Amino acid sequence: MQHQITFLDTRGGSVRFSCRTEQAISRAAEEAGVLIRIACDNGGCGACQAEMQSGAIRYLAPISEKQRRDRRSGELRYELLCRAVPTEDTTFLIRRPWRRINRQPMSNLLAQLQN
Amino acid sequence: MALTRFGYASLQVMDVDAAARHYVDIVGLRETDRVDGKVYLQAKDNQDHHCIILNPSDSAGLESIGFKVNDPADLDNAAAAAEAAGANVTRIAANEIAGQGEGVQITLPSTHLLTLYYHADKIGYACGMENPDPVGSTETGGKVNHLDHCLISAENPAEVTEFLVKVLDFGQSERAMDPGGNMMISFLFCGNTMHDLALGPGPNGHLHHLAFMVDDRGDVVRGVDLLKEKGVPTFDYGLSRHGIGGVQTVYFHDPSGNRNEFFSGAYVTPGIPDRVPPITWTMDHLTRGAFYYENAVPETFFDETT
Amino acid sequence: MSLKHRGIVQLGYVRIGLNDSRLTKSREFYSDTLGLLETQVSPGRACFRCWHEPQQFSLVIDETPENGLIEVGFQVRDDEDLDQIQARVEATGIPVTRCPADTPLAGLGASISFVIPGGQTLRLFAENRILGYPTGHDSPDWNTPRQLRGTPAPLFINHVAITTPDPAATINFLKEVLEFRLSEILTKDDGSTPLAGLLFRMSKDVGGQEISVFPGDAGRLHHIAFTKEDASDILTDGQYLREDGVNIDIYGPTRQSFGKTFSLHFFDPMGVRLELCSGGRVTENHPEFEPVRWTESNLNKALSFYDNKLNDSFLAASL
Repeated sequence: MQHQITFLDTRGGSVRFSCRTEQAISRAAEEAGVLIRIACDNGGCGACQAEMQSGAIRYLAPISEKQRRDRRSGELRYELLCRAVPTEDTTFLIRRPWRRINRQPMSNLLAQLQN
Repeated sequence: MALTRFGYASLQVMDVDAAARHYVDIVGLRETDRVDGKVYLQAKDNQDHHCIILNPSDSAGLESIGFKVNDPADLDNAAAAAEAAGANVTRIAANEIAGQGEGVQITLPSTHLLTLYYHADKIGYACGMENPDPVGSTETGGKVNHLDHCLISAENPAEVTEFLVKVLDFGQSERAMDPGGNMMISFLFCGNTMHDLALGPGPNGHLHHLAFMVDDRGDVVRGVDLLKEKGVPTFDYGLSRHGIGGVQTVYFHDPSGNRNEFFSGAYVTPGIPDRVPPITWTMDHLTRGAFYYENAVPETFFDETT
Repeated sequence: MSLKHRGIVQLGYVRIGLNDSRLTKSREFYSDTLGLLETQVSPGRACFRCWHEPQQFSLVIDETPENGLIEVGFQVRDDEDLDQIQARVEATGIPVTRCPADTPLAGLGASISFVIPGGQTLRLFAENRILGYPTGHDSPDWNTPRQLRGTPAPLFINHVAITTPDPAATINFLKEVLEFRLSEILTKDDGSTPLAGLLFRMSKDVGGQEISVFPGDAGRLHHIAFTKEDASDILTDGQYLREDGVNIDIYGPTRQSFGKTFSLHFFDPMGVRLELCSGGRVTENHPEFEPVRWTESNLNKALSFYDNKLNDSFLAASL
């Protein structure tokens, strides 16, 4: 089973990809060539914080509750994409810009050269 | 008298058993005690009861850090000096922290809790205390000798530095200054090593990393191999060298996201403040100072704290 | 009252006398072969420091009619420490000599000196001129300076080893009067008599000692040790030393179980035993710090974890 994930950035950009129900959203994004910032990959450091605009998620393993909260107001604000899996189609506002990655750089280079 | 060494870090973790496995199998510590759901661990070449305490929590982070003093009277003196400097101070009874004598807990200007204590129960070195082989057959993981230092984050590193120097007689070995003359990073010692406690920019109360020392650069290399082979998340550059201090290093994360470091390197400081002017790093050189080979610092490097 | 580190805070320097005309051989060896930085030369004296040291010297060599250890310098915090330690030493019946600044060494502050039970002279001082780090204080490259590459170029002085016919008395004096701590102690098999000890004041990561005591002649030097980054460095350093014809101790590079250092011992042209070391016990200047205990029947393992035979010649003083 798959769900559609949409990332929005603060400047109006967006990207859409699909994510399996047992797959961390960060991994699905990477497979789709969308690299978000991941550091501890263990739900603790907050590098992958994102604001959920619509949809629903659950967590594969415990995450650090304080990283879900706004540091100033203390209100719940973020989800952590390194351990979140979607339970329906979900849209996030990503805190840090993502980077598109070329997953077949050598093949693409050859294709360019052969054209 | 005075502080001797960084004694322990008390960590908050979301899964105590997973954390304990990490600190034993990956870092290479000995599990020394389990009391009231907390796990105590110590490195092979430290003779005290613990250097890490794992506390079950809903969040990752730092519960407190502990420093030893070498005179029981230091506890009262430090409490009085800290209070006079405006800090909140509470008392800790003997064995309130397992394996540890009475202590005082000082709230730093950065809100971190710093515990001072005189006594730690002795468990000896992993190799034994009598006619020991200098290397132990039971060494696991990263073969770390000891917990060496921690880097904590503060909104105002200069303010915390001033407190630690004035009240607790820390000295400063190196520092990084922004173009406006504000102290961004501060490396402080209470013994004769480069640092026992370092401060970086970031949220008050947070942990940036805990550093474990190994003997050789080769041990750092083997440590990175181990981390990669075991799938432990490491910092982007994997193996690197800090220009600051000139040490070989790798950062990685425990299962709750708390950052660890394996490092090696020799560095001697004079043991008292203001004897030797600190090394000063300017922002235009900080890339080399942080990651010497790569000459680049991801802007998130200081942002990702627990 | 805020906390203050007090008493001896650091090993400062070792000062030796060599019968070496105009110190020609010594200056060449310590600069070109060992890789120290020469900081001062005056008639009859040469001063050196390691490339990671901010102070003006950590090794002083005087030209003297006889080879010998002149004194070992330890740094204290301030003159109040000098007063307190002077009183404690005098209370044991040992006379203390006080010297004004720049005497006997230029750039040294006021000092006290005395002869410890082992026969060696210690000098304590609060000031030794700071020249600054050789690699600079402004965003430095913490790399071995170019002119020293291809030599061992140690980072710091690490410790000094002395000999005495009564190790127990010297160890006891260092512990009780100067508040050194033991990191390792070696005794007769019945545990009764201390034969050798490694002592420290510094809480440090490398070497585990500032002064070590071995059985032997009174007043003499066993060796001077310098800090290296790690064991791999020391293996390479052994190659450089041999290339320069240096006499390396038969143990070669080894793990010294007594102290847990990785060590290489060798001799300068005048026969002074030197050591490069890395690793070693992590020390803590704390009264409850417990030493590792050795008995004499384990001496072979204690002195070298790797070698199968005891090297008797290692037990002799060298200066």
